[in-house]
Amino acid sequence: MTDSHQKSEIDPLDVLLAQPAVIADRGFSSRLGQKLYKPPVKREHVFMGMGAAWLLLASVFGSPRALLQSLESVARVLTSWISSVLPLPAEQTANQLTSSLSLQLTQEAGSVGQLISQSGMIGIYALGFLVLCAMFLLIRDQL
Amino acid sequence: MQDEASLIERALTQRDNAAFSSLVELHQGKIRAFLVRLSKSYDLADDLAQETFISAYRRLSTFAGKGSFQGWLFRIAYNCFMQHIRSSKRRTEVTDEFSAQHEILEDNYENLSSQQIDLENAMQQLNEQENASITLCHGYGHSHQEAADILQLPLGTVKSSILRGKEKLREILTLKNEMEQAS
Repeated sequence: MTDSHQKSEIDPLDVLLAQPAVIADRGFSSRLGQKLYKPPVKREHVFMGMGAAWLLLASVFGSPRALLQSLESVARVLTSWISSVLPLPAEQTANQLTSSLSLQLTQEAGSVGQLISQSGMIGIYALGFLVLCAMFLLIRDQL
Repeated sequence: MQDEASLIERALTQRDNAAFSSLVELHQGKIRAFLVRLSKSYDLADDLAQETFISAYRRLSTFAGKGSFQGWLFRIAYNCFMQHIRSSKRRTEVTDEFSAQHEILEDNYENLSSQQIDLENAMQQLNEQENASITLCHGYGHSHQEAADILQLPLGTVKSSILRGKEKLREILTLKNEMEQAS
């Protein structure tokens, strides 16, 4: 009696909903694995290799000033690229990014502490941010 | 097969890809079925499921272990879906493409009964909130509070979505049965 009473209270919809359909794998996991764990591609290796080589050369042969000059040249390349993409005059963009660095270099500062002052650091941070953005886009593109 | 906790532990501490792959195999069926119900498209659901697992892989260290791993995955999946909705700026609708795809439902799902096929068809008539709330609570055994956390909705909204959704399902399934009996 009690059993039949309990059975009548069971909602058939609840029973049906409690057996959710599950999609068969059909190669999904292996496709995802290929996408997720694929080794870094050639472009990524070249990119990282160039960065490492630049750092090595700069630290072995370069002075702090040479390092800043090198950063300035990278900034020029980046700003010319940005100005070709964005509707901004190249000079304006370049000035925004490199003026602080150039200013420092023309002042013939004698020590590293003087060279890397607040205004110089802004330029370096801007460059670092741009490089990080480029790396992020490259890596995301590979996934 | 190893238990889920040890797989998570290995994937988390040793960055063991094989362990993470096992976790994917364990959960992909539910996550993809959940996303099919929401997106109403098998292809889009597969893309979103891939996005979900890639995101989970990257953010594995943020899984605190407070709730279930499945709940954490559902939350990421739902966020991926909502992100897609926002970026595409349109609500999902049952498309002709999806209706046509339903002809191959049995190929996509594991051991699907005729009643489950009817249910899957009926679920497509619900909105995202109703669909997600019912699937999480009735299908995968999450509490109302857990579903509210996963969907980032107030508890009351989840409860009312379930009530409203079930009413709609009853109407749709009853109507279908009546039409079948009449014919």
